[in-house]
Amino acid sequence: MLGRLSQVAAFYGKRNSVGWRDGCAVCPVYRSVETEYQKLRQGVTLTDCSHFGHFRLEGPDALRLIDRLSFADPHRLAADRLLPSYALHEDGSLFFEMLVADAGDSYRLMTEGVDPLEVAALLHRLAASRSFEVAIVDETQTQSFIGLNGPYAWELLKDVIGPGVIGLRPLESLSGNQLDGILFALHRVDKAGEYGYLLQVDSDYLIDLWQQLLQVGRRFDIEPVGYEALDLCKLENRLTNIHREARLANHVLELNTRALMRRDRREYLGRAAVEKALSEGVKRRLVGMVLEGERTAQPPLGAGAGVHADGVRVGDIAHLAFSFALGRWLALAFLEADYAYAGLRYRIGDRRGDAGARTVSAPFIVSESLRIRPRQDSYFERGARARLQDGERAFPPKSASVRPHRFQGVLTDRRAYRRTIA
Amino acid sequence: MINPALREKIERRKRLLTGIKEELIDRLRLDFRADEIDDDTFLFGGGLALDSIAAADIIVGLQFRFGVILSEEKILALQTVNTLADFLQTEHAGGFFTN
Repeated sequence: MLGRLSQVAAFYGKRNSVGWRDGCAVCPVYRSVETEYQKLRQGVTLTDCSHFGHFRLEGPDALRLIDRLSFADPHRLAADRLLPSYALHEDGSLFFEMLVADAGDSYRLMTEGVDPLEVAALLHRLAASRSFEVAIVDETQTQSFIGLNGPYAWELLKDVIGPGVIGLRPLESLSGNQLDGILFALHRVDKAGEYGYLLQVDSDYLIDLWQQLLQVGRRFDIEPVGYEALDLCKLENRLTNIHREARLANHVLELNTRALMRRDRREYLGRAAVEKALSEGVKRRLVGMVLEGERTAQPPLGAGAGVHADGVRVGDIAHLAFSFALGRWLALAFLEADYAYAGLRYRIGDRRGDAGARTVSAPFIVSESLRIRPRQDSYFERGARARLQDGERAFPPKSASVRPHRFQGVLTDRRAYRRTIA
Repeated sequence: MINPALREKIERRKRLLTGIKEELIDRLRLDFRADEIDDDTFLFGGGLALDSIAAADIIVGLQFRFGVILSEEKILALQTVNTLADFLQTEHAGGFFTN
């Protein structure tokens, strides 16, 4: 089956490589992961989210269908708010993630993690199995998404749609916005641990909006970033990545970031498996790890390497990446529940070698955005901080007492990190 | 079979995490059990979705239960149950959580 080609990837053409996400060809990297990561942590960046699915559900049973599909309870959804949730397989593992919105006359689903064709098939199957009276409209081809991420993303948007954007809280939406006559809806979704927004636009105007954002973002040194840099930020901030560690979870409860669940919910996909795990206890849990002694950007091990305690395998590495901010290899590992606690030293190994590693609390870093106060701060008044240009990365350390590192500027409180891994 | 030293570390950590979760549940009147809150669950924004009023309550609770004084800014930066445990563990090394 042929996949989709992102308009943005086509726009950049042969200048960039493409990778596959959810059946769509998108750019994993535009310049270099390191440069893009730096921009994302310090300024404002654009991300192509063309791999997202978008569905409109209309009719008297639309909410019932979502209730059947969604791990989180959609009855808690308020107007102009988004509900983050997962769709599970019957065995409790993750199928895809989604944002649910109540648009008044209909419900909207924005999906990620699987080809939207599979989402459509599931929705139709669920609706048919319960004879739900609902119209399922696949708008994936007609609605597109652009991600705007970075600690000063709010400031660029303030220039575009006014100061009201500052009051937009996580998971809130604002529709009816315009940039040079292009209409778009805005959703506050912090996908990279920094200020983050999804701009939803008619697909016919996707490239126009992308170019306009590059234009107005020029004074913010805006740059496009691929999904590799975004994935690294997610790892550092311990935001679940549906394309990486979540794919390897046997069960949603293994992710170890569970929001509170209501136990009185009616039937939803995977409920029996979730209830069974809750009554029997979760057998594995995902924990953060920091590799000891490896400060080079060459991978010392691969994902899938084993985690060992006293020579006994107690888990597996699910996601491994080099943190430019910390100068260390970070990992997420599924460990047997009895071993899945922070502050413990284990060995990690595979055919390529082995290394010591410590379990740590997540998130691994404190995002710059947590320190930003939009009513007081500005990209243009960052004091002594050097502006990042053309891959330069000379940030003075915030405190003379902190050991300088080439990405020092990313962290606002390394002490918190040090407490974890020291 | 977990070696005794590792077992002891794990048990101490478990006790601390459970204490924090129980304090959150009591203080914020959450209708859940401690084992229903995962260690890496975010306190603010996502996860428990607590707000600044809850943060003030947590500060009072931690002072009452653990004798630790935290600023609101600090607790917002700690973000998860696990990082909160790190902070308490550091502040009280050899203290309450060893009981």
